[in-house]
Amino acid sequence: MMPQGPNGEIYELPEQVTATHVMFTNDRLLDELGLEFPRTHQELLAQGPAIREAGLIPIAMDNGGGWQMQSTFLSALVERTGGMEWYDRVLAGDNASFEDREFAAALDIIQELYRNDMFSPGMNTADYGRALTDFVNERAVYFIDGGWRVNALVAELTEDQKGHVSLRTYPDVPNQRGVSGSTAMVQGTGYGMNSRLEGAAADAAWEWIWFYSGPVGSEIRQRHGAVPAYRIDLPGDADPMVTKLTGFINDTPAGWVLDSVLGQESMGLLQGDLQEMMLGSRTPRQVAQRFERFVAANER
Amino acid sequence: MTSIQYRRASYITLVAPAFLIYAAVIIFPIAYTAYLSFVRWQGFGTPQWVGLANYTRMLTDPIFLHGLRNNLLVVGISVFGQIPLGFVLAYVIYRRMVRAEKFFEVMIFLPITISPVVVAILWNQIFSPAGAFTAIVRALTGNPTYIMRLFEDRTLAIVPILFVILWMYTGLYMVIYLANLQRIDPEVIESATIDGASEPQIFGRIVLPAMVNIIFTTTVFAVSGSLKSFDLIWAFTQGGPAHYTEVIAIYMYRHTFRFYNYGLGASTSMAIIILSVVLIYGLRAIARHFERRYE
Repeated sequence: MMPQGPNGEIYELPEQVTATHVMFTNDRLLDELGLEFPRTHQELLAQGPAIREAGLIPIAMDNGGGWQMQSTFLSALVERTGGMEWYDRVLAGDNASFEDREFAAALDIIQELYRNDMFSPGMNTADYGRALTDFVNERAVYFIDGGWRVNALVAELTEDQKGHVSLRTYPDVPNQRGVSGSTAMVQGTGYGMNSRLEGAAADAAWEWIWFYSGPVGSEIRQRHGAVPAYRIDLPGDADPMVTKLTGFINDTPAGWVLDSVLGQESMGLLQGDLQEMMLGSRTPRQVAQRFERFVAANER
Repeated sequence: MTSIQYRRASYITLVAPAFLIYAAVIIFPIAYTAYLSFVRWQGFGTPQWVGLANYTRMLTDPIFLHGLRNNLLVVGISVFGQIPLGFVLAYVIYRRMVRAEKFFEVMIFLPITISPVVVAILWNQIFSPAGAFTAIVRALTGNPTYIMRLFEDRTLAIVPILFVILWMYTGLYMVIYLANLQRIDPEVIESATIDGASEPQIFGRIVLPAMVNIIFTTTVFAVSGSLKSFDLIWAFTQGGPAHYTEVIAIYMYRHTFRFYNYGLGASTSMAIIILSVVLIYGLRAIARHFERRYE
């Protein structure tokens, strides 16, 4: 690998930006239930009984793989409960720890939602895709997942449904220190090229990178629900869901996604512990303590 | 070249290729795994010697210990479930205690012909929260909110997997036993019947002694296969939720190929080897005891 910068830096232009937390909302179901999108966590909890009484799932989400809760929800919650200044400090171990109340508060929210039956029943053993199916079949009012799910929704939702599905983020949480309405985002990957390539091989490599990352590839990927880094206008006939996602990415402030800033083993520990917390074998404090110890010993 | 030298050269020439292949695919991987279990290594760079640290970490990790417990349950269901059940089924078919024995033979053997991944997906459709089991219980009880939550119980989460393992592999043992039962001279059983031997006497005095060796061999297969069990469980639950259905092979895979902890993965691998050897030697002792009894 050949350094590009004066201090050995390797630069990368990501091909796209991904929001890992989107609270897809079925506005028509909300209307039919006489509800409005909640402004706070408490308002959302208060909607639970009415939604369940109507035979619907409040928040469709599946977490059989374990990563979903961390990536598509907890990461955004941590920015809300801690704010970006604290988020940066805790990652660096700069007078902040995952045992601080900021992180524990995010875990408490998940546990409170779980205990109040706000999530899909059996979510921790559900295959990835069941929550999407429930949302598409209008069996759930809200659906928490990543922005990449727009690709599936483009194909699965009817034109009528696309009109009443909105892309939002989790409402404000108690003692919020982060930005209202924020999500979590991560830059996508970018192609690398062997620095020793020359002649026709180098031209071919550049041709592919330019095709994929440039206007042609970006437009193709945009049509399938991606938000490319290459600046292109949305085509006039873009799918409504793609238009909504592009607006969401442009307008929504964002914090870190934990699995993009910490290692896989830390995530393996946290994700398993999150499941255990929901299933009642660990408390939020124990989860925070174990996570902090591991991150302090291995990541900082 | 003297005769002795000639014989020695012939011996080496004939044995060396087999020995080299055996060393390359068995001895070297085990020795290298043993070495890796004492180092910290992420797949690149220089391995760092850490002594017994990987073993200490493994043996104090509740996830490993729960995985070991699950593995021993898999061994248990294999040795005390598949083998007796396979034997009984083979005996019932051999002694023609049911009609259409060929039909039952095929039906019982069929699951083993299906890929473990397909079996896992199939049973996952039955045991998943929105699966057939949930739907059947909802229909029977009239409770529309019922959800199959067995996997959410740390102690019982492994039970559906044990059931599937029993369902899948019993047919294999049945076929092995049936093939061996058919080697028993029918005249011996016929003579015993004429002499007035009862069915339990035929079973205990003729059939069982003739089957001790094959029971031992299949038990060794069951034990070693159970300790390595990975594919079915990985495709079924990936060890989740919260590691409740994890077995040590999944623990090893996760640490080696997900977290790049080659040292910890290697120490887990050594644990599987050591456990296999200990259990198989234990079984040999038991088998010898029965062999002496029937001599």
